[in-house]
Amino acid sequence: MSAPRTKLASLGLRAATTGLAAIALAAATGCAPQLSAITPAPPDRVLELDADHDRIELSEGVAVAFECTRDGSPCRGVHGSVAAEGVAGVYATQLARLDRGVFRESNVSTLTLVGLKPGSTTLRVSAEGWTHDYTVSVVAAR
Amino acid sequence: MKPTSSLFSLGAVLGALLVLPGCGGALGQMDLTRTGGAADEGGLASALDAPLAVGGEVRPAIHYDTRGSAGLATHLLSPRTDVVDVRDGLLLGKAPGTAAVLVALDGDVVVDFVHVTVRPADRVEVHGIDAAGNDLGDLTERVELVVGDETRLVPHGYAGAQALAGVATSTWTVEPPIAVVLREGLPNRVRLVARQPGSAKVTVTMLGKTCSLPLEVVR
Repeated sequence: MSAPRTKLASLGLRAATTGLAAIALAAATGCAPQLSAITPAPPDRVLELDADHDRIELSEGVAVAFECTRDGSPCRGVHGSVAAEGVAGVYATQLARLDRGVFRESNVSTLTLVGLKPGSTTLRVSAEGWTHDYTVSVVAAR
Repeated sequence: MKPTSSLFSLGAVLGALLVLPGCGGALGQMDLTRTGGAADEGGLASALDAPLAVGGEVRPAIHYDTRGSAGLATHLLSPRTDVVDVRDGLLLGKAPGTAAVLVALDGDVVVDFVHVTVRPADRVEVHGIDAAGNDLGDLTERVELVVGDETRLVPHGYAGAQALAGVATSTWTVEPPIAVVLREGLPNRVRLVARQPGSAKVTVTMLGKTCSLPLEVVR
């Protein structure tokens, strides 16, 4: 095999590998539980969920409820845990409201996160064998 | 308007109706901010419709609004006990700040929450209470009683123009002692009973603040 053909084959292989990795990552992200905030911060306090970068920022003392979905339907058996329990706390939450998901209907799947003191930690959300980590920044009240 | 735009607007309105909670709890499943009937001034049970005083205690009157369920077996949780603590269903103001108080089922499963602001009182004012238990507001004039007559009083903490939620132990003095102060079995509601004619100063101390009002007793 000539050198240009070898190089071409190598480039093709690399592109295919990269493409497969991207597809696998997209599939994994799509399957992982996704959070969306359903309650606001009180006046003069902060809450921001950056879904693109998996970051949550909230003020100390503030609680926020998140709805959990996976593949367009409410998460089954959602569970949350935080790495640094002194910085934030997470609570199972029940909401008497239906979520008419794409594939399944059930009560809205919910978690409540509370900022305890300024600092950074990781919130791990698990559901149906899938996990999703969010970086949580708790900021001091102004 | 384009059909897609109309559909989007309708969806946004319906979405907002589904997501917007009622008053009080962030999740709209209960309300801690309204009273159940006549104001029980001086009692512990109260609407949590004002900042809680540092050093004050309140038992929030919880109204359930959980779809398809009657009253739930709940308890209160405070993740920030340095700002607001919970004891036997009472909320205790500990230090200035804002902190979430969670309403939870067994296993600490949250069904709603409210953010409680705690503020220090900058003064105390004495309110009059009528025979039906209604709060007449702060007393701005001299209190006049006939010997043997009585009036009900309750002190409230204020921060600026805002009356704070929460009661605390109060101490009362009448100087000279032409009247006596009788406790009514509630944390800070008292009866002032005139005993002899004269003029005096009634002084109450609560939440670290003191307030005085003039008293005149006639025969």
